[in-house]
Amino acid sequence: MKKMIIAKKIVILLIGIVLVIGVILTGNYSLSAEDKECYESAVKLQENIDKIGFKNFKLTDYPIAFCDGKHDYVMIPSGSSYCIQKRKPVLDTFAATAYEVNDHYEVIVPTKELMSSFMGVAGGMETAVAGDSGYNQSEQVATIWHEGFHCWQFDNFEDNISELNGGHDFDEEDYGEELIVKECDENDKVAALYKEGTELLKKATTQNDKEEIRRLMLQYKDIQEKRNALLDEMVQKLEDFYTSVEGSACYIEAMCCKYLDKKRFESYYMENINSYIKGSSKYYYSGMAQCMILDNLDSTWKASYDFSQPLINIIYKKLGI
Amino acid sequence: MLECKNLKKIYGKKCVVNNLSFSINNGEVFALLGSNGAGKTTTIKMILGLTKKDGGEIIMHDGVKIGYSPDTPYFPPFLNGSEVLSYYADIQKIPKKESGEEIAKLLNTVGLEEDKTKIKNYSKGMLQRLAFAQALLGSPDLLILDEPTAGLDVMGRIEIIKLIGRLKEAGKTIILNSHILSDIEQVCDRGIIIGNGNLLGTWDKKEEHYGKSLQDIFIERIGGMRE
Amino acid sequence: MIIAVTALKEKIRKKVFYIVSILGILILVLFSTGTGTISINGEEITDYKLLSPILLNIINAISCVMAVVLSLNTIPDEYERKTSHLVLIREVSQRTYHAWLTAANIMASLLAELILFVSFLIFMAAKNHGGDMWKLLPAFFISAVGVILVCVMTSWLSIVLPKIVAGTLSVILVLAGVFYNLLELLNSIVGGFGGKLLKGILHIVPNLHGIQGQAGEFLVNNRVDVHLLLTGLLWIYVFVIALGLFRRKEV
Repeated sequence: MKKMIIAKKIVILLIGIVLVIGVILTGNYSLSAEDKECYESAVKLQENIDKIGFKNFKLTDYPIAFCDGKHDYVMIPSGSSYCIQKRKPVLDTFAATAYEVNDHYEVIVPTKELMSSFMGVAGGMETAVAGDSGYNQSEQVATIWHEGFHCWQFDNFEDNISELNGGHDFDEEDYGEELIVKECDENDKVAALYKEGTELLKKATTQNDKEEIRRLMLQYKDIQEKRNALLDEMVQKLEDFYTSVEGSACYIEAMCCKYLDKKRFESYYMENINSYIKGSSKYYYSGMAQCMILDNLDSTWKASYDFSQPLINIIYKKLGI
Repeated sequence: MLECKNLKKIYGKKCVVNNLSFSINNGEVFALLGSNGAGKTTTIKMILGLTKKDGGEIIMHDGVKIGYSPDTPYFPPFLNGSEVLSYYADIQKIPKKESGEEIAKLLNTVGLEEDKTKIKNYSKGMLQRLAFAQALLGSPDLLILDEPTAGLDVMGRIEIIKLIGRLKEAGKTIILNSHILSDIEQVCDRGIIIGNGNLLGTWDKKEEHYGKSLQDIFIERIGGMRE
Repeated sequence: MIIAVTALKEKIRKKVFYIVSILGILILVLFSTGTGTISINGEEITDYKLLSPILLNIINAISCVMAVVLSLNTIPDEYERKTSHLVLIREVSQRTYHAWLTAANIMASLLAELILFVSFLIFMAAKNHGGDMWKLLPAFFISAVGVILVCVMTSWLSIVLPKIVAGTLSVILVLAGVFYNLLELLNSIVGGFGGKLLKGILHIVPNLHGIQGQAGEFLVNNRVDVHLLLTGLLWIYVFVIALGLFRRKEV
């Protein structure tokens, strides 16, 4: 009887040991396979992005860090492959961003799982409860390229970008957002004019006829002048900053999406051009539209664009307005 | 059969059984007497091993089988009487071949019909009888009966008291907890009177009580405690 | 075994079992017939590959809540009604008694989950994915890991804590486990003391979302994370040991 009891206890203990070993051995103490796939897919798109034409813009020039809240997993290109470095998170908050780490810029994005959870919560109760926001790999890849583009912008054109926003310090993101909401969104006339303008932008993105584009952009200029008369110079500069800097990054993001998920490109990016979104996000899409209009006018514009002036000024120059 | 020495039980700051000592001989019917809250049920629970004692000793012969009939029995309402007894027989590991016959016999003994009536349709008296029947499963040597006649009508009470008498004749040792002093006087051999966890007195049927009934002795002891 | 079977029979006669089962079936039938919809970013989700993991998540959440409801009162009621007395005096140890009652909790909860999975069968048939029906059985067993975990956890809590406290704690742990992914997200956003607190909470809450989510992954031919399943089994093991170690002092 005593032997049986001892045998039972040994069996129970062994089961526990086996389970613990199993948990340890199968644990993922590195970046998930899914995130590695995202990185690899992003890098593979370089050839397609090269065709867009921004000079010397290479994603692999910048380390890409995936943050899971506990660690950063930094993908460092090494020849034709890469190695992964684990470190403590450099950001103490949840963000997808281009960030200066030591003496260089890095892309920092949350892991796909975290982004999916975040999108689930942002999508409302249904998606939060359902546990699936539908956030997929192509969206994550597009986000990586968006932030990668920012790294390239700040790395090469930091002074010009600073000039673009009039030298104002908009590092305090909340401040910029607050200003946009207060001066643009809460002013009905300004908001209505903006909406009118984006309708014209959207039409122009699908036009190949230069004369038609000219006609639309003349109307747009008129609307813009009316808006600027109602806005402080600082706000105008802020709008230029968002439209050109974020807009061009959004353009890169959209182009990635076009390669990976054309349906989403049509239903999300194109649809958002003339959607009125409160805050700075609306400029992402109007800026993207301006890049697409420039593509219709002269696809080589990217080779020489240095962020010293707003995108819309380049459009006016090309149209002789 | 059973000896309790200086039994003690404390709940929080209250001592509900305080140095209680008594012994029970083989084949006798032993009464536990006392008011509500005296410590009778706690003493029973300590003997049954349902409650850990905080002091004292319980000395019992090896291999003594115990049967227990609680005062407020609860059985699964969707079963019938036979099924309840079969349930407990199964737990007790009585072979199915033997238990079938025993169950029929026990139901008959306690005056219950072996029919399909569900427990939820049982009266208080029927539940009490069934509780008694399950206590008798496996032919226990020591029976502990907590208010076995509670809720029974006059005839029911008489039958149960007679049954206890028959069991005594068959050599069973019984501990009886009851408020009905006349039943105790009729069927018990000895007993103790407990009050506030303390032993207030003893009672032995064989001893001379100089004309005093059990009720007189009880009142004397409990009344003395209250003073 | 008879203790478990009798306790199970008592459970499936309870109204709450039928109410929650019917509720769960209704939800699933609604979605499979297209009457109810789930939308993400304003877009209605009708595609089987997207909808099935979501519906499985819903089944899992309902199953876990049912597991708490079915497990919470079993052991305390036995002591309150003193039915435990008549079992424990028959040389059945408390450990054995609790184990069989917990087994009854598990069987009842799995039965409820099975009913919900049968409703999912209807959904699969409605979406013309009858060929994948065989996958439901392994998916059920994967999901069952979470349900068993909740049963064992709740049963143990019901022994060591008063009913109301055990019930509240069980519900909190289950909800935290079902929304584990959101807690992880919050952990990545919140810093300072709040972040440390969340980190601590994440260590003591079983990742029900992750564990049961593997059923959905299996169903749509994605890779199943064995680590999460093994972690779930380890949690079960820990709670089973706890069940055996903790006794009720007063019976």
